[in-house]
Amino acid sequence: MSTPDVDVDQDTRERVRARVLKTEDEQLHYDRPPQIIKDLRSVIEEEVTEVELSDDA
Amino acid sequence: MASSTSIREKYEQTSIYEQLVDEHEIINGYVDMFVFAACVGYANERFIRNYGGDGEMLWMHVSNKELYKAVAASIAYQHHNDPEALLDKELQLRTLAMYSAGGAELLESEFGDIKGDPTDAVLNYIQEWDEQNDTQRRDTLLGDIMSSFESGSSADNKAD
Amino acid sequence: MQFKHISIRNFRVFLDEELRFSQNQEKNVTVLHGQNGSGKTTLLNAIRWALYGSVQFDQGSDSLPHQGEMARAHPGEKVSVSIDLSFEHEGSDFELHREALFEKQNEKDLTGEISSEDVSLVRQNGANQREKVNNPNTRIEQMMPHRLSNLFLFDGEYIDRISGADDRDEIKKAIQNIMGLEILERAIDHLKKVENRFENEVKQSGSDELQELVEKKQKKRKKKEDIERKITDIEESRSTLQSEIESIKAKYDQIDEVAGLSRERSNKEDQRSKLKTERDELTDDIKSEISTGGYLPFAMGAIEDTAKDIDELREKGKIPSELSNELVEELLQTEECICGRHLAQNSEAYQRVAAFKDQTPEGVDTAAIQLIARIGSIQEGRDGFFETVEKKVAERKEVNEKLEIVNEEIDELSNKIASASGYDPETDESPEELERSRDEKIAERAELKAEKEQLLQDKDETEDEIESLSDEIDSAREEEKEAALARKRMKTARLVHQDIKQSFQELQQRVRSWSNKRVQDTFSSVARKSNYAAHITEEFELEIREAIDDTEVEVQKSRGERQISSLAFIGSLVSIAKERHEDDSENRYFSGGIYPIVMDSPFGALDKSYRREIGRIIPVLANQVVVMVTDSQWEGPVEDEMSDIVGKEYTLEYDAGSGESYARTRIEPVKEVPVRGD
Repeated sequence: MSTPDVDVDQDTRERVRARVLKTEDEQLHYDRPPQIIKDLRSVIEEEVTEVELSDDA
Repeated sequence: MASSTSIREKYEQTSIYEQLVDEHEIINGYVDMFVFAACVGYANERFIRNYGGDGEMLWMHVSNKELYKAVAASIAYQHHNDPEALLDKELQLRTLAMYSAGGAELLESEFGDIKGDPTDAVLNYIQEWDEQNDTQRRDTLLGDIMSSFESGSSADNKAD
Repeated sequence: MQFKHISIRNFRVFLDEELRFSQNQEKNVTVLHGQNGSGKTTLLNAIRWALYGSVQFDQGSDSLPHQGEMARAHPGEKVSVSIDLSFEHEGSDFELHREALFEKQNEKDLTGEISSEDVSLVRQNGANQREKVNNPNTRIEQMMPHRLSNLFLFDGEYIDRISGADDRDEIKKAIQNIMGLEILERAIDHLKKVENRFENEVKQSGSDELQELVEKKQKKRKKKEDIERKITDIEESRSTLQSEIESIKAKYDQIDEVAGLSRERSNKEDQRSKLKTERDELTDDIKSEISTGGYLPFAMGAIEDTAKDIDELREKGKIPSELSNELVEELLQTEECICGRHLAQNSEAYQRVAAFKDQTPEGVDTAAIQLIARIGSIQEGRDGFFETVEKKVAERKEVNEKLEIVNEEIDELSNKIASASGYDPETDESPEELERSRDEKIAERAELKAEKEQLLQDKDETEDEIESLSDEIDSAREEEKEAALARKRMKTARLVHQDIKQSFQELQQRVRSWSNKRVQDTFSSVARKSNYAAHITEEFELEIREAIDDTEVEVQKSRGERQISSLAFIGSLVSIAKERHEDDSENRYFSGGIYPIVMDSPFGALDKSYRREIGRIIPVLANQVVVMVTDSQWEGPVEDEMSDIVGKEYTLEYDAGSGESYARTRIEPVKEVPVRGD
């Protein structure tokens, strides 16, 4: 079965974008920010908490 | 001490439960089956220390019958050889569970193979067991013990 | 930011020198000129080192300490290299001090090894308030970010690079830096990695499994329905057979020879039915007895042993036969024994009664007595069990015997009916045929009953399977939800990645256009050939184009043209930075700033007219410009062109040194124009 597609609404996209850029800005002074991948992951996990599934039997 | 609803032990509803309770309705319910198996287990000195299982037996249900309470207290007292066992509900339930697991195994080997209604076989089993014991002697003994409590051979209790 | 003053100690050729930068608005250029090799590049690096602790020397070594000082020192001694740079930034005055100690390693060592480095930044608010800034490096980074430093502290080579053949990246980098596009770039790179992490979380199998389970459940449901239908069919069939059996009976009523027998048989069959019911009820009763009392015989052993033990305790006086602890308490209180005698405190009798209290743990005595009290019921129960059970068994035996008899009677009657003569008036069937038919139907009916029993069992099993599948489906759904969540997050990362990438590219282009316009304006104002225009292409190349007819064609830049266009480009970025700084609205990625420009040898090998033009551009590039040039480049048209706007002029006097003294450069003022309020 092919993986079903999920929707990401505009609000969420914008919120995530703003937070991602803010996080990058805050860590700009590091040449290689040590936690950045983890921090960005957390941002997305915090903003994307629910998903709708199509209902089967 | 924990409340009655929280005193509970695990037990396994093996196939003997299904056979005697669900299929042929010889024993009324799982609680009765549990106690029955425990008595059979104790009588045959058969217990399983690591009983386990998906089912849960609540003390609350066992203690619904006065006689069950007496049986539980006695078995626990005898197994642990400690008068304090008479007070310890958790201990009593645990001890019952151990013997119940052992008894269930025994009953399974006795009746598990029987196709159809095993009522008569079960009845036979009980009767045979009873015949092994000297009922009369026992009854007399118990009677004596009861009387001594009622009259209170209070020679020791009264002051001179 | 505007530089105010710098003093340099032991930094390469500068032993102990200082200079003041022009802060005059109209005459905003500070010029330093000297021979080749006099230290212009060193001066540029002095500023760089003061700000960032790093240097960029293209030729020779990076060694910092003045060689003369190193020579004079003994092995193990340390030479201090330090620079003090004072500057103004956003209304406050700052003093930056950076110092490094270099330890001489051995007699011949003129380079030294750095043993410590220290930096301090002091801010002056108002007349007497001097405040030491914590984290000076971070603060400087905020005021003049290192990533921009190449735009503001550069030499002729950098100018060349920007306009050279492979300059695309330099310009792109420059634009990126000035626009703070680095944030976007990092976000783009990092989000890709985040997307990959989420992808790892997505379980591909989740949704397949769910689908399978749902299908299975549907199949089971269908199976259950099929079974139910079969059961219904069987019931119908049985019912039909029953009617047919009844109608045979009715036929018998029409046949004189068998009517009576048939009726008798019916009666016996009713009887049999009742007996069966009775028998079943008795079996149920027996079962009931087993359930309520069957355990007792097995429990008697424990009961007996326990009773004996308790009795022993009673004999030892550990359990009072009647007394409870409460009762003992009461007696002690009233000082009266059970028998009525007075219990005087401290008397032996009193003590003995009191002793009961502590001999048995509280409650055990009660429990023990309760148990003893139940012995009667237990015995009764056990006796009752056997009595009742034996009675029921005997009764059942009786019933079974009766059943046997009735069965025999029925068989006999059936035989008589089968062998009777006569026939059914309507169908012409004989009793034998009818009996046969009847027997078949009865047998069939019984078979169907057995089938039905089996189907009911199957139905139960199927229902159980349906239930456990439902459970499995629930947890598979949970899993799928998790997988879907990870998928959504992955998609989010990807979409935002795309968003930002697009913004980045758009922004880059936007800045390119801004920069382009500026470069064109600046270039046009100084370019000799009026139909020449400077241009930054979409691929970030700096071109000079000539307008020919209606099109623009790229021309080979002469060195002078290249340098002009590069400077124009830098100037454009500086003014963009300034503009963004003064315009609050779009401050998102970079807040801009006002920066001075320090350039080393911008003139290169250019002819005089170009130099003149460059000299014209320089002052407009930034609020404060510091230029280092060779004497020959300065003299003549450049000096002419720039004298109006030079606020301070210095020469770099190189002294090669002789004998014991090593080379050094002196910074000598030539012209100092006072700043308003200097």
